[in-house]
Amino acid sequence: MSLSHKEFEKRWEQAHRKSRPQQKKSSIAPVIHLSVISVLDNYMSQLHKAVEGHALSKEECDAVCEKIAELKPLAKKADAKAAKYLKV
Amino acid sequence: MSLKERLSPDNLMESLPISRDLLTRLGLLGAQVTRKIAIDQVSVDNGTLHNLKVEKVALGSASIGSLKVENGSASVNNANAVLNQVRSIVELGFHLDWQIDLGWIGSWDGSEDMGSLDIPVDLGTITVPDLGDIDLQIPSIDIPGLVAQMKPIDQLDLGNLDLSGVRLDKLSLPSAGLSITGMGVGDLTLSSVTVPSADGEAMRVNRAAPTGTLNLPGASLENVAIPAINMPAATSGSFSADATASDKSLGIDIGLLKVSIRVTPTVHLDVGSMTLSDAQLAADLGKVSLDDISLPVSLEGISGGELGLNSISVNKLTF
Repeated sequence: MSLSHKEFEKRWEQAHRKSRPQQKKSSIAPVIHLSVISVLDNYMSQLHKAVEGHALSKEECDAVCEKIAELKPLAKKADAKAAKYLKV
Repeated sequence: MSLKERLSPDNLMESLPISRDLLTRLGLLGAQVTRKIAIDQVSVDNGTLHNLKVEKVALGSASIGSLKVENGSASVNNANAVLNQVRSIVELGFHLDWQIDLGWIGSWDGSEDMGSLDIPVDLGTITVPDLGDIDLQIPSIDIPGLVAQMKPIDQLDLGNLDLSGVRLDKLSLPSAGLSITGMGVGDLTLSSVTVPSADGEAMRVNRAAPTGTLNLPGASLENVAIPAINMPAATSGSFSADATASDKSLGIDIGLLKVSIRVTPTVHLDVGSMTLSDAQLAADLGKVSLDDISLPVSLEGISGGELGLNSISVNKLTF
């Protein structure tokens, strides 16, 4: 980012007073979103990769994915009802 | 009597059947018509003048509507540069990059801005002993409202000129070569003479100055090269420059978790002034256009040949 002369003078003065990094956030806390739905989605994508790698037949993959697809709406409904108990 | 004596003036006068008094009066009248002829006014409806030449055209201050320079270029060569009051701030920007990989359960990553650290560095005066040649390409420059002093034009050949409504006042003609004989009058006055047409061999006008201004539609010059100019020293005002280096990172990898700290160095430079010395300036102008030129003009030493005038009328002719 290019600095104007005024901004340069301001930061020049500040740099002589402070020697610590100027933090833009008060804390650094990475946030991870984990849920049954996302786990099921990741599981299905890994099964597809296994088919591409010839470790699993397409029929076996489709059979599992069909069951997961039936399970996902039920899991979503349960998540909505019991959210505070299922919090990660 | 010899032949020489018979042809003497006295013998010839005696032999003529006219009295000596009458011959003396005719001689006086002949002497009178060799006086100057004064013409009050001559009007000419129209005419033509061939081979018109003007010795000098004096041009006044020209007002130029706009000056446009296209495809210009300039270069600064062999210069030394001195940068005065140079200060820099080295800004270190810190970022935390992380990645969590739990296999089929899921993977997550992100980057957190950890702020920046400014390190001020006072560099003082920096001397660049041999600055590389700087080439500048200038696509177009428009300069409106110029006033320029124009140089006179010498030996202008205008070819042919049509004349109309010519009038000469108080014209005086020497009567040398004019011979009138057999007229017994002392003075001749003509109140009005009309000549259907006349042809002259040449005409010369010492000076003519139009009362209005001469408007030129435009002019252009192409490929004008300005010779190299030695420039002893040129000092600029303050300016700033920034430069960002590539990232440097330091990370750890423990399988499920990867964490790295990335540092981005940026240098902010502030220069109080820059002095260019011993530089050589050169410039090329691709095309220079001058538009809407208006200037006063006066003509001196106008000459022409083969003058033809039609419908000449003389108001008063006096011998």
